[in-house]
Amino acid sequence: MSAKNLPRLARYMPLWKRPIPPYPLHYKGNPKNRVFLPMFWMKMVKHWSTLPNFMHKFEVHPQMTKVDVTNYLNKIYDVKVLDVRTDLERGDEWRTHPMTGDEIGPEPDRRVAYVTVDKKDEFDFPDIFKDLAAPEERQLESYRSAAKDAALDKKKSWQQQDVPSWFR
Amino acid sequence: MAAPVRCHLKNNIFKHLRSCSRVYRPSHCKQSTSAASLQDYEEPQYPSIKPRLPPGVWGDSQPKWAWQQHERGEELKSIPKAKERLEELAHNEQITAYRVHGLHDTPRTLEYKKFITKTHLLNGLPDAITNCDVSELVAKLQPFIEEAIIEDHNQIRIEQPSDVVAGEYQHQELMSAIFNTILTKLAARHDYLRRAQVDEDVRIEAFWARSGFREQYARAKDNSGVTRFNYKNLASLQLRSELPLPEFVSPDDAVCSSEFPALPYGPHAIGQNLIRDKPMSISGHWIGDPCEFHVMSWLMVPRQSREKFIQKTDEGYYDEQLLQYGLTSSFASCVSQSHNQGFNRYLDITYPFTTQTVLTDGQHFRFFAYQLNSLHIWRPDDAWRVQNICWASPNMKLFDSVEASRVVGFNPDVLRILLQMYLNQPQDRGVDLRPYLPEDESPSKTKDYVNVIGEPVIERPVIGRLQYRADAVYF
Repeated sequence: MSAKNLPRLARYMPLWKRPIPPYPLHYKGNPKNRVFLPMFWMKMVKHWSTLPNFMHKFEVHPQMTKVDVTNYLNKIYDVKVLDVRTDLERGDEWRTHPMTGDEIGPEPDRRVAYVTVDKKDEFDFPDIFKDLAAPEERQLESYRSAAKDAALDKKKSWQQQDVPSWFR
Repeated sequence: MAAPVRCHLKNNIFKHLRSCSRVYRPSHCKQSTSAASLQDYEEPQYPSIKPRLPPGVWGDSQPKWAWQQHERGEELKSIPKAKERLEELAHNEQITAYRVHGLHDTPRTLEYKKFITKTHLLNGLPDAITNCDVSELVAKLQPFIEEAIIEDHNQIRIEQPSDVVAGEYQHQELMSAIFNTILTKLAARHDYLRRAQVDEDVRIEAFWARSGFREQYARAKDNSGVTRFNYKNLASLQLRSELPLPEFVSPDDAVCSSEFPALPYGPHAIGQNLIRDKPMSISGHWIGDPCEFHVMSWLMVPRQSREKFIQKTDEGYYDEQLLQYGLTSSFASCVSQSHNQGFNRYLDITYPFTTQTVLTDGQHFRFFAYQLNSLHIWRPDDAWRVQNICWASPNMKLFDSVEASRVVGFNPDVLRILLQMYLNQPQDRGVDLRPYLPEDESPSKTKDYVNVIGEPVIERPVIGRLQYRADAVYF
């Protein structure tokens, strides 16, 4: 399908986000279609609150069903799925560009799947950016602690503030 | 309340302010105190200082919130009747809560269920049940139970010749047959079973609050992050008595106050849904019934549910599922019992409530015993150490199969535990059962009810049209 024939919105959509065409109807006796690489995709994401280590959150293609999610994980990655719960998350709303003032269009809604897995597939989401994240904040924190110490010192020796600290 | 000031002209405002003398003239300027009056009091008298926190264990709770809880409890104490107190709770409390599911919940929620009920789970049944010697009775009753099994088997074969299992509740008859045969055989010798009540498909509802979630959810909480929960279910069979069961373990025991582990996630994370409902507590009978205490309740577990569950998961997870089902239903049964005696979220129980639960499909049995030690599970865990206790037996099979009108592989151990549960006799514990309801006497003292054929039905008071509110729940 050429990009010309696509609807206007879909033309600017990346390929992996585009809707999947309907699967051809199968009649009994006809040769079966074999899927070697599924057109679906799943992305593991971190939940806003803590999830138990036997429950994982995925962003999935919006056309995927619960059965698709279980099959995807079970057939490709050999994960034993006990239960799937799906949900729709609202996409970003209209917002203005900070420099140009242009309006940036709304993001489409996302489908997420919460998957309960077996004991052998338990997993804790790693905190990759624990040491890397925000060096400025670490600097700020050290400044805050220094200020706190100074305030305490001031409280303790409020009479001798004009003398250097060595004499107090 | 001060009247609103409505004046268009500036002058009128000043006129009005001048008239409000209270605002501008403090009280000590009005009257000059005489020296003689001061001499009368040799020692200065001050108003009593209000303590920071009300009596009780509060931990790190905010003082304002703690006083609110205390005052609400005192307010509820002043309502003299149990029914009216429940009515007050049902209408004037916040109604957003997490619904606790029983059998049909997602797998792997046992830890969560243990946390929200603050329950310590123990393997095996308590000594109070297992110490009773019933070997003679087992031999005597075995043929009657086998007969009931064969009869049920034949009935199913006639109704459904194929092996396809159609009705979800087809084994309910077998369950009630076992229940009734044991009851009728034992009632001849034991007076408390003759005086007990039996009901089918009874409503069990409970409402409680719990603290200690690290992440608090705004929609189902109070000012201080207390999360509320609701449980609704039907018990297939229920046996109730006039007196409570004896306690299984003393509440001062070390088991009841051991350290309780925290839960890193909340109810929202594992997909528990919020409901809006009136906080009601129903223990399977009308309020004012003489038999108020649960001896045991049987819960039907359809065989199809097992097959459906195991298709996706594993036998081990189904075992865990039954465990959490028995635990939550026993807890809810105890909570609903305690509400009928005048206790609630604010007024903690003064003696432990106990119950026994049987999960069965007629063939497989699982036994539970539960002791509710505290309703104040919303207090901070590090300060308030009291926790509830649940005992659970492993899954047991009553028989293997029926072949040629004979029961194969009958397990007398199951019958033994069943009889021990029936013979766990309710006792007068020597405590005031209704300490917070001094004016509302227990109905078991005022009404006489014996479970004999021909017994006249207990009279119910005729309710006048305008006696109670139109949207009353319990009347």
